[in-house]
Amino acid sequence: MQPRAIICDDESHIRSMLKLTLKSMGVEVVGEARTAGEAEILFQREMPDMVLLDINMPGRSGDDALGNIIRDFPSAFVIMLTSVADMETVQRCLEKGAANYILKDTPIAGIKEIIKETWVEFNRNRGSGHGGREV
Amino acid sequence: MVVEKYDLDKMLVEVKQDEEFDRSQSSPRVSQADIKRMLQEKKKAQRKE
Repeated sequence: MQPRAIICDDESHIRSMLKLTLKSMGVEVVGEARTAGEAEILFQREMPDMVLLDINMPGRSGDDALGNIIRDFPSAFVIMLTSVADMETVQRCLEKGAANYILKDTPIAGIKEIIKETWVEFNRNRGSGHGGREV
Repeated sequence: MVVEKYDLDKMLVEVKQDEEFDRSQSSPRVSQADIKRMLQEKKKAQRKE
C-alpha cells in the first residue's frame, strides 16, 4: 500500500515539483495546501502518512501549523521543506517535532534520499509503522 | 467594527512576520549537513533520557 502525503507550499511550481518527486517514490499525494490553516484542515480531513510543509507562507507560518498538527496528532510525520535556513528556526521546528528539515536548495535526488531515510527510521522507531507502507 | 478588527489582526500577523524575518537574519545560517548533525544530537539526547 502506498504512503499517502499532503504538500503545503504557497508556490504552485514547488507543489508540482514535490508532487512529481513523491509520485516517483511511490507516494500518493492526496492533497495540497497553500497556507498553514489549509494544511491543518487538510491534515484532519485526510489523515495522511506524511506531510511536506513550507515555512514562509501568507498569514501564519508553517512552523505554527507544525506545532498545531503535532499537538493534536503527536505521531504525525512532518518534514519541513523550506528555504529558511537560520539556526533558530531549524531548532524550533525540530523541537516542535518535525521529523526532518530539508532546505529547498537541496538537489531532487538528495530530497528523495532524506525523505526515504527519515520515513524508514520513523517507522522503525514506532514499531510496525503505517501499515508497513514503504517508500 | 469588524473592519477594524480585521485590520488589527492583519497588522499583528505582519508584525509577527517582520519580527521573525529580523530574527532569521540575525541567527546563523545552517547547511543540510548541519541539520543532519542537529538531528543526530537530538536522537542521542533522546536515547539518554
